[in-house]
Parts: sequence; structure tokens; C-alpha cells
Amino acid sequence: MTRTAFLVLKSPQEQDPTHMIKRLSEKEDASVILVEDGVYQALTPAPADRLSKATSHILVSREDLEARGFTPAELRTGKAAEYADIVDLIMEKTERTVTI
Amino acid sequence: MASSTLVLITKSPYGLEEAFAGLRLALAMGVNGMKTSVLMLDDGVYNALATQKSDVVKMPSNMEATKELYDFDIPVYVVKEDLEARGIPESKLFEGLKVVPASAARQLLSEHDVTTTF
Amino acid sequence: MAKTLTILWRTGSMMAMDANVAVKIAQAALAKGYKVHMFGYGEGVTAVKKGQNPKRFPNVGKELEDTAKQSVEIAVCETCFAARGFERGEEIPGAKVGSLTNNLFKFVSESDRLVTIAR
Repeated sequence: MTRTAFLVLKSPQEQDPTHMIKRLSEKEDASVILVEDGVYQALTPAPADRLSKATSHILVSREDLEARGFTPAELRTGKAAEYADIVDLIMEKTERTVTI
Repeated sequence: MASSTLVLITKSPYGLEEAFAGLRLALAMGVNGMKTSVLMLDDGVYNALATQKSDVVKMPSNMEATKELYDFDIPVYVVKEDLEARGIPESKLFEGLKVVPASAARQLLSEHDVTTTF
Repeated sequence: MAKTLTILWRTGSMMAMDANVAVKIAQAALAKGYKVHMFGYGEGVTAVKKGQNPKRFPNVGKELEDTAKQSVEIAVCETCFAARGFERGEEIPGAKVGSLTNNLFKFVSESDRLVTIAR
């Protein structure tokens, strides 16, 4: 199947991205990039759990995390990433990008 | 090099410019001969209603913008489960749309090189 | 040949950091040797308005102007630009007021990936 990177910019209060992710991809083919308020998805218990179950690879923008008062150690899922890592995921590790 | 585009329409018409903008983007790809498809899902399925009257709010019609795509062989799919979840029977849709199960979305995604969301 | 990325952004210059995120992705892609195109659509066109002065906030117009100097082709939708009362010539240096049919189609056709930044 198609390896897809899903881009999420919104907090879990605004959006549950796993609804769209599950429709468009198997867990093993799904990666997610969390930027801006999307980083809250990886910091909140239930949304982080849902994302872990729907995707196999989660990148969280390190600078957006830190700007909002959190550290990578506080992530409930995924790992902190620089924009270089995000671009590597988009260009090399997946075949297409879908913004949710 | 991308030779096909899938346009996902997830927003309803007339409150936001998104759905109309997505239909125009699909048209722009299609008139250039690029293989292009549109998938209406989530609140995007509201764009499929035959009874919409955009002139009441002095807006261009999303129904007409959708039908213009047919001239360029751009198929427009509508997710069945999202219609059902909103209580919209298929009999209320305008002509030419292709109602598909949500499971068809993965296939559509894999059949196009790039995807954009509205 | 280096892969090419098109970034399509649709959020306005000050309503969110989306346009700034688009620039950050573009810059990171350039640093890795990829070719980058950028297209502003809908409210996104406000990010290429010349003379933005957001005081203490990041100036996305300036960021895009600097990005254009690094061989990134930047275009925006003319219909969207005019709809917001902007005239040709009011865009930042390096940005082209163009169209979906000409510019975005060309960008996408030349690209290996398309990233949409919108909400």
C-alpha cells in the first residue's frame, strides 16, 4: 500500500485526526507530523493513545512543543523532531502527504 | 514528477471558501490534461445536494463548479457513510456524482501521485 | 536529479503560523538539496503582500522574500489577490501573481511531493 505522511496542525479539542488517518491508511503505512497546536495531540492521554494505535511513526515539532511550555520528555507518544526530520519523512520515508 | 492529483473536499459549502476553492483547483489541473479526481467526505458531502441555492446568499454555485469538472473527465466521488451519518439519501444528490463506500478512499489515494485537502 | 517539493499554503499571513511553517518546511527542504516551489491560494495570498509590518511577530512577507532569493519559485492566485483588494505590483519581490492553471499546475507537474498547509 501507500506510505502516507499525515500533517496535523490542530489540537485534539479541534480535531480527531485518527478518523481520517484510519480511512486513508493502514497503521503500518501511516506516519503523522504534528506542528503548531497539533503537538497537543501527543501530550494529551486519550488523543495520544488513539494516534499510537492508528499510526506507526509520529514526529512532533520540537520548537512548537517548547514554545508551548513542554519538553520532549513529556510526550506520551512520538518523538520530538526538527524540520529537517520532517522534510526527510515527507521526501524520503513516505510517498505522499495528506493534510488533515 | 506528479501526473495525477486527488482533491479531498472535507468542508461544507457557502460558510467557508474551501470547497469552492478545491473544486477550482481540480478544474485547473483537469483543463491541463492532468488525471484529477475529487472525493467529497466528512462535511464535504453537503456539496453534493441537488437542492442547494447559492444565489440566495449571492455566492457562486458549488454544484455548478462540480458539474464543470465533468467536461474534463474529472470524476467526483462522495462517501456513502458520510451521507448516511448526515441523514442524506442518495436521491437528494445531483446527477453525475459517484457514491462510494469509505473503503474506496484508500484505493483512490494510491491511484494518485499527490493529494490536497480542502 | 534532486527531488522537487511543492508547498501549497492557504492560511493568511497573521491568522496562524501556517505560512511561517510553510517557509520553515521550504527552508529545511532547501538545506537538504531539494528543489522547492510555493503557491499561495485563498487567504494565503496575504502572505506575499509587500510592506507587512507585524512589529514583534515574525514577518512572513520578509521570510518569503528571502526564500524567493534562494531559487524558490513563489506564485499566488491572482483572483484571490484581487479579491482582497491587492493590485499587481503590491506583491513582495520574487513572488509572482499568477494562477492555478498556469503556475500551480506547472509546480505540481514538476514535483515529487505536494504538501498542503491549511486549516
